[in-house]
Amino acid sequence: MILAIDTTSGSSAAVVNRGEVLGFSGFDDPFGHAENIGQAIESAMSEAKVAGKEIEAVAISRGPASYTGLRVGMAAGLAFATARKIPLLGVVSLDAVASIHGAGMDNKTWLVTSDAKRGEQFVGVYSGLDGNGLAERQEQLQVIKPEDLEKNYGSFPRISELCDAKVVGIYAEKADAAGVKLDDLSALYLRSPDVTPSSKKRVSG
Amino acid sequence: MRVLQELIIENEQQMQNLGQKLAAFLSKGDLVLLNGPLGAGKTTMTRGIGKGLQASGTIQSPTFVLARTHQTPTAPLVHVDAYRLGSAVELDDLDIDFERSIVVVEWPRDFTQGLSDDWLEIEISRDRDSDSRMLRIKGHGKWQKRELNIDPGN
Amino acid sequence: MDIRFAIPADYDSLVNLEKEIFGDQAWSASAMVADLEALHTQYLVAFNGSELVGYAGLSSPAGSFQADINTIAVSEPHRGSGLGSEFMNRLIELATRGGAEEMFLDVRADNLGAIGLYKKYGFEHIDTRKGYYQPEGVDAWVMQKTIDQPLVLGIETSCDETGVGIVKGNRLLSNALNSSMEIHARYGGVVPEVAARAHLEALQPTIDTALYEAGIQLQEIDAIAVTNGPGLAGALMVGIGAAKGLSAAIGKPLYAVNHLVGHVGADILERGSLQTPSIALLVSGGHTSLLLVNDLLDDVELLGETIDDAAGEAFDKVARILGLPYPGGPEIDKAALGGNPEAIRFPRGLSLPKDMAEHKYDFSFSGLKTAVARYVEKAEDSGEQINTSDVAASFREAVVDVLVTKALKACEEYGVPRLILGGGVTANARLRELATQKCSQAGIELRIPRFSLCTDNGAMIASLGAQLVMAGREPSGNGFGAESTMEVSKVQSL
Repeated sequence: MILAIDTTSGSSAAVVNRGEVLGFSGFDDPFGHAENIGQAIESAMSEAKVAGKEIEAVAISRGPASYTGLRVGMAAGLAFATARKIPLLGVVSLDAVASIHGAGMDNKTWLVTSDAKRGEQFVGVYSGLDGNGLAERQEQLQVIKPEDLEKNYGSFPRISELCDAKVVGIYAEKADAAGVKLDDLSALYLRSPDVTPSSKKRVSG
Repeated sequence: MRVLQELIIENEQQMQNLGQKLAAFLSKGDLVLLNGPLGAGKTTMTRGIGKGLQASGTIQSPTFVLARTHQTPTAPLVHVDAYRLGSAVELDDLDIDFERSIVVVEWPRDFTQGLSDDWLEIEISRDRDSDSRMLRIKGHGKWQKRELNIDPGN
Repeated sequence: MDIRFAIPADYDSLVNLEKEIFGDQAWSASAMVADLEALHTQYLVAFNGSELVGYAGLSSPAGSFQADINTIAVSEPHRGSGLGSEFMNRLIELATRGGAEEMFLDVRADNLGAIGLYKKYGFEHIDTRKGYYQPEGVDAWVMQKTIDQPLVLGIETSCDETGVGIVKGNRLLSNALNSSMEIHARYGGVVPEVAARAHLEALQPTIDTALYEAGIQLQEIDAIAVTNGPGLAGALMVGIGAAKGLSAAIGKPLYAVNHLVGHVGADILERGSLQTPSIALLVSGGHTSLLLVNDLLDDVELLGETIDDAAGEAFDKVARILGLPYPGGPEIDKAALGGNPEAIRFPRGLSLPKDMAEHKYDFSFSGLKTAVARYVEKAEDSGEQINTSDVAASFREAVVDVLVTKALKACEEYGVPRLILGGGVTANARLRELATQKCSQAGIELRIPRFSLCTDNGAMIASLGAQLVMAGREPSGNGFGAESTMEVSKVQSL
């Protein structure tokens, strides 16, 4: 029983079990993440008729996406998992979209794109689904201008479905079952070179 | 880039007046960079802009908090201070919604921007011997086509 | 029946009713009045029209986490009317709100009616004083009621610090803080390690530390409090997301609270309770505000705030002007050692007669900053060496002087004999020294919580949340968002 949370475009949460979406709640507003995330989680769980203690893992979308919204979902998922002492699975949104919406692409190469603002696109390049139905990503994800997208990838089919908690949840369950490691929980800040802390900060209590 | 206006500001009240009148030219999606040393009057100018936009809350220096968002009847006014930021990359992380807001950035350095294709840049320099400030208002991108002739009054 | 707090005009009636009810067991008039006036004692009175028909007294010494019922008295004709029960309800509410974990009372062993009432309200017989009531030789029963105060976890992410704290009522259990103390030696400022990003990374370790230090599991928490403003929107949103995730996971309610009011609530954890009314001066890198606190939850008023730079920011910027490294506050203090605070009379912002109309309690440090810069420039231009110690000391004096002067003026104007300090700048020894001196001269009680509660922290947020729970307030629902600028009068967002 997985609680999936996604705030890469709107805000959504889903309860997924054995490939089935038992509950889902989504808000399209691309700006109200902090406002909506609580309700999304509660509605999804209520629709699925599950309580917190029945959730066995939390899957969060790591992006790429606009940072502030992305962090709301990640913070909520992290907190939930910490509270229940259950595993946290980190999902790359484009990989999830590729896997769920890429059926039928066979062994072609195709792209998944999403809006990176400032007129640019996040792009993942995929070629086929493996035996577990998981899309195989060819390269690093990129942030790319439309001209370059056309120039370098213009000939490939493109999927631009939005990621949401359903997609994240189903993908996470599949990937986890297939032994794919989903333990990278860092947010995908594709645009900025890594400005991470030079050393771990001290926590004082 | 085109220099839209150059003027001398004699005192704090005039700086605020200038900001207040400048507000009339600002709408959603606009970006104003205020470039000047410590004490140049960047926050004073922003206070005037806030007044002109009827912004909620008090305009205060956002040095520590990095950015303050004030509601206005039109678009939110986001008041940013890059003093504590190491690079434009960190400004990026603030994930400011440039498209839907009016953004004023207090920018004490010579970073190259890259935040937008169109922006208004106001360079403020302080005279060593008096209270005056010399202002140069520069338009980048679509701002080059605007005409500005603001009278800061008294 | 009109029940309210006793006022001096009631004292005569109280003394008389006491005599009437208790006969020769009655307290003397002077003892009665002394109790009515005692610092940590509250008296409720019930009037039927203009006639006093009952009263009850509760004593709650600050920091004791205990409350004693001194007396409950109802005049003969009004017994059995439910007034005794009403008093019990009120006293328990007062004790609960005051943070008591135990309530005590004494009762005559032969007063079966009263004992029955007390048992109904959860009091248990724990001790007997044999033959206490003379000359009859009747025993006194000591009875105790336990109050289970709420366990609240608070999350604070409004600026740089990621704070998670846990309280039980007014009692501090833990205060975990993840601080950006790593300094990139850029001149004058801390590179904030990309604030909101850092908050996300710090969340789990900080929550874990808070739980570990408090020795509790998350499932035991009764409520979650979170700062939803004022502050940096992106940073606030991380805390809000976390709070909502926690709430969904453990099924406990949320309280979204005001960061500045949280700073006032910090004193509750220091002392065990908050005395109001109080003036509060909050001074940090991001805030300089003067508040009038009549009631922490319902009546907090902004008297004034900075119209440009915060005091802490002024320290950092002037330190840079003087060529001192970060952090500005301690470095200015170091440089000021041996310096003469009266060497240069730097401007005290917004202190002139012309400022009093609109800015009596507002602050401005930008002009001071420019004055120091100009002083340094002039010296450079004329090739003079500046005495950094004198400049640092004089600058610091200008800041501290205006802060303390305005705070004391507010105490005087509003007739409030208490001043609370909060915020990171309380670390400044000169501020503490001058505040202590001036408050003592003026007969004002000065409260400065320990530094870990003054700087931005999660425990103060938990404390404010706990006050809301203890007062029986509705939780905030789950639709609140981040508010970058928030009125100080908005204590809770619903």
